[in-house]
Amino acid sequence: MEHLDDGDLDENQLQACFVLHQGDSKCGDQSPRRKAGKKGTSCDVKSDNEDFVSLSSVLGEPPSYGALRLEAFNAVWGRIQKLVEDIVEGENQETFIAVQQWICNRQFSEAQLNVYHSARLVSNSSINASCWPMESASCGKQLHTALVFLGGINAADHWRTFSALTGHLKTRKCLVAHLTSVDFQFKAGVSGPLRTLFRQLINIIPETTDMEILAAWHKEAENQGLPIAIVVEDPESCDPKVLSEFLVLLSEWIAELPIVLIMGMSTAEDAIRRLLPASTLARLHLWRFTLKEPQKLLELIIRAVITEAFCAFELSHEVALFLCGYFESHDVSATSVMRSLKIACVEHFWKEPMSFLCSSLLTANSKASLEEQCADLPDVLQSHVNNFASLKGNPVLSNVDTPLSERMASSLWELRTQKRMWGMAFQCLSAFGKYAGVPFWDLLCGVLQRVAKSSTAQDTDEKLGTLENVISKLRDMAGPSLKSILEEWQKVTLYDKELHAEVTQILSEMSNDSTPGEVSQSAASFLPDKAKSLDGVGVKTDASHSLKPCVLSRSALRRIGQLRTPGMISQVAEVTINKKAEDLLRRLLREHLKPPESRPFHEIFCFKDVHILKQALVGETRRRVHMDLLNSQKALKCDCCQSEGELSSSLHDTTLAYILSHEYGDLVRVHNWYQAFAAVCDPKIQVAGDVQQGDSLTPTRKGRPRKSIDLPLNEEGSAKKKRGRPRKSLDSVLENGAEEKQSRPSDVVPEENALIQARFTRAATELQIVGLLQMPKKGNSETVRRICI
Amino acid sequence: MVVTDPHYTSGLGVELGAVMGKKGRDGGLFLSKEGSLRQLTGEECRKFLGDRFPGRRDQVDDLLCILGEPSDIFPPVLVYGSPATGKTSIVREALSLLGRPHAYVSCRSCHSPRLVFESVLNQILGHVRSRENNYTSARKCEKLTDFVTHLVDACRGSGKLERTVYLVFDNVELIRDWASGGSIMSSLLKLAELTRLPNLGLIFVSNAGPDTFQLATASREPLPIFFRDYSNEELYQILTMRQPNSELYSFFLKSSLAPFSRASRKVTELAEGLHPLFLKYCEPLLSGKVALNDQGKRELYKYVKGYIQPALGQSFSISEPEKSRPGTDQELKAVCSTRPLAKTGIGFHLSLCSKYLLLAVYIASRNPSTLDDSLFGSGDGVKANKRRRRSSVSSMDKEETLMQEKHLKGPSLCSLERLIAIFQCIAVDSHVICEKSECSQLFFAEESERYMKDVPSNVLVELVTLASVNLVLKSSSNPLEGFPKFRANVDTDFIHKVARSINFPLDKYLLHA
Repeated sequence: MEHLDDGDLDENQLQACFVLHQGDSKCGDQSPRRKAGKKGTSCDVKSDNEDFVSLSSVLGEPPSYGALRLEAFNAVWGRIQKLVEDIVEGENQETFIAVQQWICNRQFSEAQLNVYHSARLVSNSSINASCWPMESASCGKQLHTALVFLGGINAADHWRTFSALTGHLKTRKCLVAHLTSVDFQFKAGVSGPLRTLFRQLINIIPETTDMEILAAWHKEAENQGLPIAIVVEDPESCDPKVLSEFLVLLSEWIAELPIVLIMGMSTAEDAIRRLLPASTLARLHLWRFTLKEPQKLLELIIRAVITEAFCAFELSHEVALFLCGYFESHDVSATSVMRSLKIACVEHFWKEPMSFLCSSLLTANSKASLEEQCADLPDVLQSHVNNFASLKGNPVLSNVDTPLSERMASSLWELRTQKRMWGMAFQCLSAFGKYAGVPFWDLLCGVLQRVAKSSTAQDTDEKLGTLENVISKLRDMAGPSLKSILEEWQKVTLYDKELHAEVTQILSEMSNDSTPGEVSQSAASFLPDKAKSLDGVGVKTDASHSLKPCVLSRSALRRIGQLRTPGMISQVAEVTINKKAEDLLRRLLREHLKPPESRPFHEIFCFKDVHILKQALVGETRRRVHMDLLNSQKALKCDCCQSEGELSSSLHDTTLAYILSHEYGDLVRVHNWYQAFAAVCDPKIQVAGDVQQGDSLTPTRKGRPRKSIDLPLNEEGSAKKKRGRPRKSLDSVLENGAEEKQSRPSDVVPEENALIQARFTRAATELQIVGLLQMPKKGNSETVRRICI
Repeated sequence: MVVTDPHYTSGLGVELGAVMGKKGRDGGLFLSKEGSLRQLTGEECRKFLGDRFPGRRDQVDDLLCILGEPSDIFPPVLVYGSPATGKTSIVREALSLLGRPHAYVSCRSCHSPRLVFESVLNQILGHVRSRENNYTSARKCEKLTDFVTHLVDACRGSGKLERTVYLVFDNVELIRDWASGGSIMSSLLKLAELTRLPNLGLIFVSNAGPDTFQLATASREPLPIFFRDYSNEELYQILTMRQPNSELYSFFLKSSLAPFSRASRKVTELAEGLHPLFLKYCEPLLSGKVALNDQGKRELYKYVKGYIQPALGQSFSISEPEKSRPGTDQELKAVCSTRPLAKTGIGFHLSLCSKYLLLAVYIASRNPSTLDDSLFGSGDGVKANKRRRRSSVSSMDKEETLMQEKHLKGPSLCSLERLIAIFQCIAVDSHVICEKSECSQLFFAEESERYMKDVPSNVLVELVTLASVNLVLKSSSNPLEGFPKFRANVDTDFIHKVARSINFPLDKYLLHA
């Protein structure tokens, strides 16, 4: 269900929005699985064991494979999760330490100030004043407040960040309370946050929220001298009045208690000025801390997950593109990344029977052990593998001579190296992008788009698309930056000896490009080297095999051309080096940046279903509510109301009420609506209604049950005349209706009437909660309004 | 000099209480036992306080006169004046120095009647909250009647009736905001009568004057003591007293106090506001450029003059936690520009969708709905569900003047429907709106057309998110009532920065801007 406008957390905790899911019968049994993924990172998937097992019946495989898949999911997802969490934690660590250091420094400087002030007052005063307390030493002190700028509005991430910060400070001997905007509500006033504060710090729920309690508690031996850090996670969402009252109260106590405040700011620094009145602001001493920008963080995560780490789980380019677009336009939080990756992961392991091999792929240390695993597969699964689309039309792989297990094992084993090469190629590209000033996102999207093109059309021309512009920049790159790019490539390509040698070659050419002899020599030595490397790669992949000769000849020709012009000046040499670097990069892209779904047996480790992911991430709109309400019999699968669009008493009440409400315009007269409802529900009234229908449209007598299919226009007109009494609410309208009915002899028994009224009221309330209906208002108490956006 | 109200004169002997240990600042100081600490006579106290609080000699005199001797009957007193004028400090120090038994309670930290009552009783009874008594207070009293009973018991029980017991209520102006605050205030003023304790001294400290307490008719007017704002000379004295290097600081104050004191006369605010300026003032001295002589002082005066005006305009400042704090504005700017987010101009990350939403809200709340047609064309059918009257040419002029009026009034509210429609219009080119899932079969064809124009729930989620950080204001009391209205809560600079960051021609959509 969806509720657009009810972001009012302070009202009654109604959910701001609900993500809707298609309830069609085909994938109806998926919903529990998807929910498990959606709940995000903290949920435990173990409870879904049955789902994994239950799938086995579909294929007829041994039931133990369900558990295997679950195990594989846990292994793979555990790895991804750890990867992401480590990155997030590592990035935040710096700020956390800074905050903690700051708290220590504050405490120290406070102590110094106190010593200073008391010494000074003693020396100043004419009489011996050391015997009485220095009140004014504390007055005018400000509450030290750390503003942690979070760089974006990602509530889920903020919660995670501040929980981590709280944990960090707690381990460093701070007394920490973590407050959120839920505590700062207008209704509870300042006692709301205080209550939470006491509960978290003292672990009691005190009768009153007196700060003396905190002071008394802080005097206990084990708390003596420890700083109290109060974290307010989202001050911008708090009620400003309560927040400022709370801050003033805290600032009155700083002489007694070593309080520091930590506030998370999701917007710019100006927000604090808008939030708090100047008198409150004057009591705070603000300090700035900045967290890693969410975009940079996301970049790191994506880089690690998609390009670098080997997790035995790949996203197809379609999925990756969708995710990138989603992150960019909607939600860049680390939480959303983890959630979407988890959904993908869950869907994959649940859908693909062979996915359990991923865990062995992750852990296997030799090709042989993998092969063993593959050989053990039962026949059902073997035939399943033989039906893989990736094997169709591939003569080498669909060859029946070599056993399936061997083919499978070898191509799966290759995945590791392929992934590493992919990562290497991308790193080279992004190292270049860094110097060329191309943002990471553009590069990634460019690569993914290129990948998409090359996978759809097997063109030999190999257009690089948007990347073309980027790479052409390499041609005009100046010497020093080119050198640093090459140096980075050198580091990146350490794994691959041939490439590494090549890069070193170019680099050495560059460093001593002044002597023409060496250049020619190096160029000469480069040629066979390159040919060799191409051969080596060519064996691996067949798809790119056909391209090789032409590439080789083109680049070789260029080099031969260069050889013919000896005695070139250094600038020319630089140009040729640029050219070489560019060629190398192009070759890397061509050979290694291939989509995972182009690989054989990719069904085992590659998640491709964008639609499921989209469905899970992007919620349906209220149209879904509308459609589901109108087609409730489909979801209910009942036999009684087959005919579409026809009203019958067996329809679900809410559906019936909703369909009936469509007979009016935007404004629905409650009484007529109710009577129509009653007429459908109760056959007795139905009969009466049928009789009435003969003279419809003419104003009927008060309270007579009738089926009103009035048109909105004349309905409105006649309504004014008919109803004398103003009515205040839906209930009262119904009550009045009931009174009228009961007052005069009727063929309807009152109890039944009450039942129908109750059903009707419930249906109307449900429609209201769903957000399709607005209850009567003061000015227009007889009608409800349908809400359509 | 002892001046007492003739009706309350009692013949009790003069007996001085003694000062005993300190129990918390807000917890107050209740002098229960004979102690070792020295206490002052009225004359000594007057001299001491007069020295400590420059410019407050008159008020100290008044207060000490009314306080009189330890067992004198004390009429209710209202000490009032602006914040940071020394009201609380003088009252509390006078009571401490004279060794009078008193209880101090601030209505700010005791934010409900119950807390006030219990805090007073705790102090009179000498009750200390601790883990052993589970941090509870000595007596539980939720109502005023309970308080009166307990107060009588407490005072009788401790045998302090021969001396006046003083109750100091600070920040009493806050009581007015409490539920039934007026009656509580009246009752507190009549506390001596209610408890039938003749020597219960009541002192009220407030920011607001006596006229602002709308007291019940039969209630007693307290004796007012007004603390006026400090004059420049007094501020000068106070500020120099607080500083370590008084000589240098006094030179500094001579140049910079006058402009600052025009803006604020609060000692606390001045001290905080002047502090960064003083650091800047010291800079040339520390670097050794200027020697501390007359010539140097003149140079310093010239040097710091340029910084006074910017410092006055600064409402708040955020310090950097690093050791190398930016000293000058230029340096601060340099820090800002090196911060990576500063280059986007907004200062924080907003998703593409949020940016468009913000722009939509801004446009919707700036333009009247009648202009939507002309702005967003008629071809795309988005506005099919919107009822709009066409405006004739003649009425356009009238509208224009209305528009200008409206612009002066600031952004107006707009409904969710209109907001979403505008959002779809402006975001149609970008791929912000994820493609819609294909429409399944429909019953009501004409209805389906309406619902085709839905936006995914993400957009609505983001709208709620924007509202949660106050970039968009939402006005709706009851979530079930529906029809929330929205209004942009961003300034022109900000929205133009947002528009620039996504290359959106905002000016094209803002009429009369």
